[in-house]
Amino acid sequence: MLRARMRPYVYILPALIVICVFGLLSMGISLWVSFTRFDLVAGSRGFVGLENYREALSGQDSFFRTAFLNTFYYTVLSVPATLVVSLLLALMAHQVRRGQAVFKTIYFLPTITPMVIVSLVWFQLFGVYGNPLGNVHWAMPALGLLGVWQACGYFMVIFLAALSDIPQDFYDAASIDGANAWQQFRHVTLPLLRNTTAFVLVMLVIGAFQVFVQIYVMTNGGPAGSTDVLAMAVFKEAFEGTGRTGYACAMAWLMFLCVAVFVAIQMRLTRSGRVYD
Amino acid sequence: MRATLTAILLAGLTFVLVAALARPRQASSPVELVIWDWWSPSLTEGYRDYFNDLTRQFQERHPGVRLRFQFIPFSNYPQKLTTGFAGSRPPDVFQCSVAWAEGLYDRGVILELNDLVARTPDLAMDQFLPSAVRHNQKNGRIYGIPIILDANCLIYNLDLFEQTGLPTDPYAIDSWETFLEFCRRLTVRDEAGQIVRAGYGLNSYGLSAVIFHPWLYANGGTFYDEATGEVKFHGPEGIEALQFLLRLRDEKVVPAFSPQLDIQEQFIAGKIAMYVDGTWSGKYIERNSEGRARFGMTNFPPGPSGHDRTTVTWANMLMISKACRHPEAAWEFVRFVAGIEGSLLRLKHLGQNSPRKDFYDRPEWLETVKRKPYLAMVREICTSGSKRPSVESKAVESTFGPYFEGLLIYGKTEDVPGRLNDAAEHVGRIYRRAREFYRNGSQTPELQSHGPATTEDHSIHEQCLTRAVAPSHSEEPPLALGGDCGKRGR
Repeated sequence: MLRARMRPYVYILPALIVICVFGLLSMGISLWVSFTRFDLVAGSRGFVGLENYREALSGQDSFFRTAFLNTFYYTVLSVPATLVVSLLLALMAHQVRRGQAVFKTIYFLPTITPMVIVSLVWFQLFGVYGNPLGNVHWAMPALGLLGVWQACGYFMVIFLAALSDIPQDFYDAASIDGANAWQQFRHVTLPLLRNTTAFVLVMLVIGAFQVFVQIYVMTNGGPAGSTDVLAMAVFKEAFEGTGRTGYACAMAWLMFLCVAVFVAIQMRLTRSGRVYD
Repeated sequence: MRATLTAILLAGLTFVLVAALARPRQASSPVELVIWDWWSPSLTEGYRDYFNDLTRQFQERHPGVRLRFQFIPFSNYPQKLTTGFAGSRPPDVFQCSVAWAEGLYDRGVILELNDLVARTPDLAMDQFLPSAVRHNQKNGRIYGIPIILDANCLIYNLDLFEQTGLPTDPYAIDSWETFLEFCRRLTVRDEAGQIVRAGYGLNSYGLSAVIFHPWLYANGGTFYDEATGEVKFHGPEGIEALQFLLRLRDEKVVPAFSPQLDIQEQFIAGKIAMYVDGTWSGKYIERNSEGRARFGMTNFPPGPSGHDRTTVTWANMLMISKACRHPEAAWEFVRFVAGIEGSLLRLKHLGQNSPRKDFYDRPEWLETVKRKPYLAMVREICTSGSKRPSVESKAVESTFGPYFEGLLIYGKTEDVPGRLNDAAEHVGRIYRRAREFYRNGSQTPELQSHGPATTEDHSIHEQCLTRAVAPSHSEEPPLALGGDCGKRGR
């Protein structure tokens, strides 16, 4: 009996070990590093307590505040837009009776194309059309646009799967009650997509807070620091300055906390306990 | 259950077997040197031939040493070095930019070369041009041997100068006012006022202070005081230099700011008449224009507060990591690459000048200059410049960059003093933090002025050096050094 009860744990053990070693252990180390004056090459220069956190939050030249505001701006620009576009695409794809696979594939392609390649292509495109990356006001919206284009295919597929799960009976019933297409969408589709929407929203916010590759490739935080985001700031601090790894880790943990808070609020606001079968 | 456990056991055994097989095999030759470089055979045919010849010639002289090159793009190089040292798997020998060299040395991971240099007169510091040996030593301790000598320079299109009726003499631009006048005359606009050809290519994007440095120094300024670490770029000379760059922008003799702007490409296409690049760039212009571009190189004319033509210079170097398992073999490699033979190989395949004094009298160099006249000024440019700022250079670049970019894109002349002041405060804190970091835990003897090194550090360092310079009684033993020197970092 005991052996039978242990079996599932044995099955998950290899994955658990990998997660612990490469995930939790390294997170633990970075947490410890965040309380020290640390350099990747020279090692630790001693415990400094919360000094790195204090510096990040209130230091004279805190990169964190600027980077946080830029990240928040990127999140505001890209998350709602991606959510709406991917939902619209899913609704359209859902209506397509023939060639839906082609439609899905076309929109999914950007998701499976490496971000570095996508960034290089868009970098050249932006150079030809309006040069937004050279403008402090338009660089971030341009990056947001790329984010939407790249992510909407993936979330379209998720919405599409959720749409397929909505029983036709609900629509038939609504139709008999005289609901038009908008009312069906508003009162049937949206509520039944609530859990999926919550999931998509959480994933989008996490992704937006971690945005890095396209910024590293396309703007390196410029022009004039207008696209310096949190992940970029962590990277720069960790690798560019002497003895700044502890500070970079503190920033990374603050970033983690920000994401956790946002996600918790979202979950609270959007999650529904109801299950429609 | 038994079947499950058997499966797990088998999987584990397979894993161990694969891991064992995947372990790098011991080299068949007794000594293998791992060498990192950002130059790569894939860059151009010239680099391919250079590395082929270098490897062949070195191994003819040292058949017992195998060279294992690992090529890493320049943009990823510092991260790779950092992780290499952090993970105790650094290269044995590596080309190091002046941008990171001092930082690595200060962290105590680089082998000091004084004793090795002392027994190798060919690599004594007086064999090199003075401007080549400013970044490779600190407080008299040598940590790298220069292999190239570079400088920022003004590159100008001879055809466009001639068409415009401007003199092509490298000293013709003798002041900033003359430079501006040349820019005005070289700039061509269409009927709508759009620039068809710009007099000067100014683009700060991603280059940050690199564009600013030569103008600052040409105006008699300096980025920081090396002795005190005090920031100086926000002084009157710096303000004047940056205001001059803004004036070029406002007079519309430079193209619109764009991150996609490839200035060298525009220069080759004849859309820009002058721009700033490195003295190494001639070979790329020549190659990418298929030999059609006619151009000259010169240093920067003095600004209103400057006195002489100048620029900033630097000499990237070969370093040996303290964790190197074969310091003797590594030194032989350095000796070959940094010696006259290595210099001539780089000249032959890359058209590259050398930091060595004896290089410039060689018939090969004189012959090359005849074939490639743009090289004629290279020695003068490289010896006329000030030392390029290198302390905490990446962090400083990242910090200074946004201020500089902001001013160039939308700043006004009157904004310059205030913004430079803000930048100076910010950059000053970077220098102070770095000094404080080393003061709190100096690992290397050269930092004794900030704080004493530990006894253990001295001891290990001395052991490494003693072994590295031990007279070789036979072919094998000195080349197979290990012990603490090797273990420390591995």
